[in-house]
Amino acid sequence: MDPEMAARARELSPEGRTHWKRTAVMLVPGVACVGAVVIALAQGAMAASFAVSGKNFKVSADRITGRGISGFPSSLGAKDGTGHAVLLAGIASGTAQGVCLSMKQKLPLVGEVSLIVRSGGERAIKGEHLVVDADALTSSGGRVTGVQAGRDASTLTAAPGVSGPQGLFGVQADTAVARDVRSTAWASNGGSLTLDKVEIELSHTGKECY
Amino acid sequence: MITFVLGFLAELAKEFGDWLDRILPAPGLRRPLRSWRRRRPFWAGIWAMAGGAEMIALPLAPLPLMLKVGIGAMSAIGVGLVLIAGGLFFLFAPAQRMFVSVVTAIASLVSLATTNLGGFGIGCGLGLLGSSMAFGWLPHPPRTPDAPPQGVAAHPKAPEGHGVRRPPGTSALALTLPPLLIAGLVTTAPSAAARPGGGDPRGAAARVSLPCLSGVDTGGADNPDPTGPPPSEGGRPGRPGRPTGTAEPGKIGDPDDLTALTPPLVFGDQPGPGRATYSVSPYYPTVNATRLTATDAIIHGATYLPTVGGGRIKVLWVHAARIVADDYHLDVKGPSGATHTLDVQLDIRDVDVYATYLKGSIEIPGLKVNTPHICIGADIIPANLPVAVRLPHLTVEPVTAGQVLVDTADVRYTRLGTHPQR
Repeated sequence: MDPEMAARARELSPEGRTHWKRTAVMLVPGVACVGAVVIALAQGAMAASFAVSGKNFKVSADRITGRGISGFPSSLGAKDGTGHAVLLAGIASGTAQGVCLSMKQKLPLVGEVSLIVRSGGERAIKGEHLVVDADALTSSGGRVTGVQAGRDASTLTAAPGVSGPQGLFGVQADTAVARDVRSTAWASNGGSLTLDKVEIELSHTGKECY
Repeated sequence: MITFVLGFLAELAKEFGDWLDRILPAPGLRRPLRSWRRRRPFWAGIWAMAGGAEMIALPLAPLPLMLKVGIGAMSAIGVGLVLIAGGLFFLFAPAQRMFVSVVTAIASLVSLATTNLGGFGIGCGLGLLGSSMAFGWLPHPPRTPDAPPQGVAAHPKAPEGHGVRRPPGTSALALTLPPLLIAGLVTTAPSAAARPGGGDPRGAAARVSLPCLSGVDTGGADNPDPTGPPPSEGGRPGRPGRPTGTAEPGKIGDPDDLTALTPPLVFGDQPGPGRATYSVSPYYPTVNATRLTATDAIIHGATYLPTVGGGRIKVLWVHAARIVADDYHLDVKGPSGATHTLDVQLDIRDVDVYATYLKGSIEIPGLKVNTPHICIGADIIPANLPVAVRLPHLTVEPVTAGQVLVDTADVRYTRLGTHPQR
């Protein structure tokens, strides 16, 4: 570079560089804080908020209870007409035991990697104001009370804030208990989750929750 | 030893950088860009913006829904936007990097609690790295020929007239720290979602040859006054010969128990918890079951249910103390035109079923004989007749119905499966 030009550039605004010692002044306490927050979350001392979606996002649970549940058929990303059909469920409050969540991703160079998160093995996870878009869902059995299946989706009241377009078939229930739930969830939004003993596993073998 | 390794790596990175500089095209274009890049915490801004973008990209739910859900869903976007704005500040207003880097660092930490564990750690990590790098970035002090610049004493001074090079080792470090994390974000391999169960094997089982008894609306009394209280539990006529309350398992299908057959007709006030008063969906599903057993059923006849638009649907109304449905199958259309199916074994108590039509083969009580397939539409029955038929035991197999509404106190189910049908 022409020395004059370089001098001009420095006058304009001097060149600089990242000083790693200085960086560490912020990075080290920051990482320590992250560690503290992660421990607090894993111990259930702190609630976390979630909003995720995507393909190959599987959720399973040994037992789920819910209070105040609204549901109706919906679709995601319908802009080009190829919207993905899902069942949208809003849950006012609920608990889950033995929860497993897995995501499979193809990474360049690395190959297929799956991330598996387990929680609620001992104490149940508690959640509030959850909205789940489930692609497919199975359960071995359970019990639902106070069911209204056929209510107009725009008049659903069980889960606050969750109602659908007018004229759509809607379902709501007061309480629900479901065992051995397996779901290909498309998206999960909002709400807060109080976790318990989170185990995170990265796997190369394409391992998933089920 | 570590100094030696770092020095060696720095030298290697420098060599690589020089080689890259030689082979890449358009040096005239890249030189000013490089100069621009070195006058601000460039990589810090890039990482902070990448972290923010990742947090926003994760929840792909429809925005109106997220707005409805409220603060929980919106925080992902809020924190992500703070990081992106911070990254833009690093790039275009580097003089303010100190304050902005503190803000973005705090936003990264907050994202752990509010935003999917900080975008599953990736967004949080990138944001924290970017913030710290911006915090650590310093412009070179005005150089004097003798004194080495402060803070870079450990590194060899760049030769005069060659511009000030950032020590290549650091730029290599800044570049290579998070690329794997980024790589995970740009690939979303599409693959068919899991769909438990296949087609419905009973598809043809419930087909009937007899046409539906429907087509003529007999009208009838209009909706009962919705402001009036529904008949209370105490107002119900007694159930002769049957235990009141919930039915017990094992009580179903006892052909010798004929006591409840009298009286079959209930006059006057219609028993049951009362007609549903809330609006129903006009896009009701079609349901079928291989076998449906109702205990202590009261056939109210036909009535109307309101829809939201001010319309009404004429339906058959049946109340039962208990209904057991084998291989219950429900098809309902979603807004995208896709059909959702539900397969489940049902055992429901204290239930009101409202259907536009019912068809199936009724098992005659006491005899192991089924009638031919019968199909009754709600429209041929006058609505709100002050007569109800009580049947202690009703078995229909198979059964198909246009199920407008099911209102029940208690559902027990096994083997539930639901999935969209494309």
